[in-house]
Amino acid sequence: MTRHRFRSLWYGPLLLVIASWLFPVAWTAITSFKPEGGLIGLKPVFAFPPTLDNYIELFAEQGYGPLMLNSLLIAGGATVVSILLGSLAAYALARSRLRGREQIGLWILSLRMLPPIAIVVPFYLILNRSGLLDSYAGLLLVYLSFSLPFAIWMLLGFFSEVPRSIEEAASADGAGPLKILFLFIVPMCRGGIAVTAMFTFVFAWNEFLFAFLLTKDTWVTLPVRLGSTITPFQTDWGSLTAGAIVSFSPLIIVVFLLQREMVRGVSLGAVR
Amino acid sequence: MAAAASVGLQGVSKTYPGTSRPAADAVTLSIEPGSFFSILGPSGCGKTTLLRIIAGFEYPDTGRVHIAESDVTALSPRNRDIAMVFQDYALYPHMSAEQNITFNLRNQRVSRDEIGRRLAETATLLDIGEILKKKPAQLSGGERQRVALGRAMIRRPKVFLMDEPLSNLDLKLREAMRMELAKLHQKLGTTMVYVTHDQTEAMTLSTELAVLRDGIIQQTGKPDAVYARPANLFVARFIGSPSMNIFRMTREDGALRQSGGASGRLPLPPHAPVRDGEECLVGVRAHDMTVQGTSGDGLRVGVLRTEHLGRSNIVDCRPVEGPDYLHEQQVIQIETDAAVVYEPGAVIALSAPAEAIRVFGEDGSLLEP
Repeated sequence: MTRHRFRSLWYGPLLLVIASWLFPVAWTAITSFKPEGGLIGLKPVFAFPPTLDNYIELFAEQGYGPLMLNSLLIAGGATVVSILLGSLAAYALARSRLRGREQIGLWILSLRMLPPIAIVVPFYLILNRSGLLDSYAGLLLVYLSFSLPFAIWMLLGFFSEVPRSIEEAASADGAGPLKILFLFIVPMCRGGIAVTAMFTFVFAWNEFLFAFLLTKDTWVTLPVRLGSTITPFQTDWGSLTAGAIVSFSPLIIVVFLLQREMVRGVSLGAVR
Repeated sequence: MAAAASVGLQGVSKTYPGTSRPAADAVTLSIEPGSFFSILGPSGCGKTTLLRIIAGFEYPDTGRVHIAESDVTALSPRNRDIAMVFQDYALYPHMSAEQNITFNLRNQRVSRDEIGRRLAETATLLDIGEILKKKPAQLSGGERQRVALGRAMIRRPKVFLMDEPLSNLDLKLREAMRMELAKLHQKLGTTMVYVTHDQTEAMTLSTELAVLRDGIIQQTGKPDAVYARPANLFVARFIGSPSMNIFRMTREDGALRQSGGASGRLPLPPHAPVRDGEECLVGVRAHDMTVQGTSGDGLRVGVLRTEHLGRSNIVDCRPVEGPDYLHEQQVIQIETDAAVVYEPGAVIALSAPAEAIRVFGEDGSLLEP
C-alpha cells in the first residue's frame, strides 16, 4: 500500500522530464504551422490561423520529395545491408570456436569509437580518388563503416542468448549453418533484429557530417539540406521547422512499425 | 522403416579445453542394434559428453565413433541420421508443434502427402493430435516432451539419443512417460541410447546399461546382471535403492568376521578368493539381509528408524559394537516384511545367505570365485 502511494509521488518529476523533452518538439511542430511573418516575436503566440504553407513550399519549391527519397535509400540501404551482413558476422562470432573471438568482437565495437571527424578526411580522399564522391555507393559504403559494426555488436548479444541446444536440435534435424541462421536464429531473434534495424536506421537517417562533406548535389540528404537553411544572413524559420518535422516523422513511423516486433522480442525471450 | 543400427565407440577420449580431467577417458562401448542402452552415472561423470560425441555435437580428441558399422567420427550431426531428444526439449519456439515435428521432413523435401501421413501416425502414437497447432510456449511440460519425441520419431532415424528426457517432469508424469518410452521402444525397435542419473529409469527401461564414473566406464551389462554382480564398490553403491551395505570383514575359520574387534559373522560365499586372515569388503543388498533375532552370531545392530514403503519396510540400523567395520556409510539398511516392526533402540542380529554375499578386494573391485 505505502509503496503504491510513494510511487505516485514519482509522477510529478516524471511529467516534468517528459515535458522538457517534448516541449522543443511540440514548439517546432506548432511553429511549422504558423503563417509567414508570425514566427518571430517577443511574446510566444499560441493562437494563430494554422497553415500548411510551409510544408507546401518545402515540397513544391525546395525539392524535399527527392531529398527524402535520398535519405530513405541511403538509410534504408545501410540498414538492410547491415542487418544481412551483420547477421552472418554475428552468428559466426557467437558460435565459432575461433580463438580470440572476444577480441574480434571488441575490435569491431572499437570501430564505433572512432570520432567521425577523424576519419572524414581520409574518407573524402578515398572517395575522391575512386570517383565515388556524391554517389550512392560511396555514401552507402561510408555509412556501413559505422552501421555494420554497430549491427554486429547488437546482434551478437541477441544471438548469444539463443540456447545452443536449439541449434543442435536443428543440426541433428538436418539443417546446415545457413539454414540454422536464417530459419531458426533470425526468426527467434526477430525482436532484437527489429531493435537493431531501428537504431541503425535512425543513426543513418540523422547522420550529418559524412553526408555534408561527401555529397554535393545528387545525394544530398535531409539533415544536410536542413542545415543549409540556417545561414549567416537569414534563417527561414518556417522552412526549418517544417523541414525538421518532415525529417522527423519517418523515424516515428519506423518506431511504430517495429514496436510490436520489439515487444514480441522482449516477451518471447521471457518464455521458455 | 530403417533397420536398427549398432553404435560403437572405440577408445573415445575427450578433455574440454580449460579442464584437466577428461570428460571421457578411453571409452569403448558396443551397442547392439535395437537395444535400449542406458548410460548411467552421477552428474558430471561425462555421460552427456558421450551422447554428444555419438550425436556429433562434440568431436572426440582420440578414438572412433561408428554408427551402423560405418565410421562417422568426422561427420557432422546432420549426416549421421540420428535424432536427439534434449533435456530441455529444445523445441523451436517460433514454430508450432506440427512445424517442429515436420521440419526435418520438409527440409528433406519429402512429399506433402507422405509428411501428412507420417504426422498423423506420429500424432496418434503420442496422442498429440489436439495440440499440433500450438506453439511450444503454450504447451505443458508433458506436451512439450511428447512433441520433442514426435520430432525425433517421425524421422525414423538409425539411432535415438535421449539426454535425461524425463528429468524436467514431475514424478507422476515421469513414471507415465517411462512406461510409454518402453512401449515406444518395443514398437519401433530402433536403437536407443539413453542418458540418465536415475538408476530406477536405467534399470526399468534398458536392455543393457553402462555405468560411468569420471569419464571411465565401470561396468556394462544387462540391468539384472549389473545389479546382481556389481563390478566394483562404486557400481554396488550406485545401482539399487536402497544401496548395497558394505562391511569391512576378515576371513576367519571358514567364515567372515567383522573387522574392528567385534564378533559378528557372515557366511563365506563358496570359492571366495580370500585367504584366511585376509581383510576384504563385503556387500549385501538390503533385501538379502536376514534377521536372526537377538541370539545369533550375526552382526549386532541397533534399530534407528523404520521407513514404511507399503509392501515392505526399510529399517535403518547402526552397529552396536566395533563401528569401524562400516565402509563409507553411516547406517546399515535392511528390507523387511511390512508386518515386521522393530522398536527404535531394539538390538537385532543380522545375517545373509552365502550366495547373496559379494566380496570386494581392497581396491574395490569384485572378487569373482
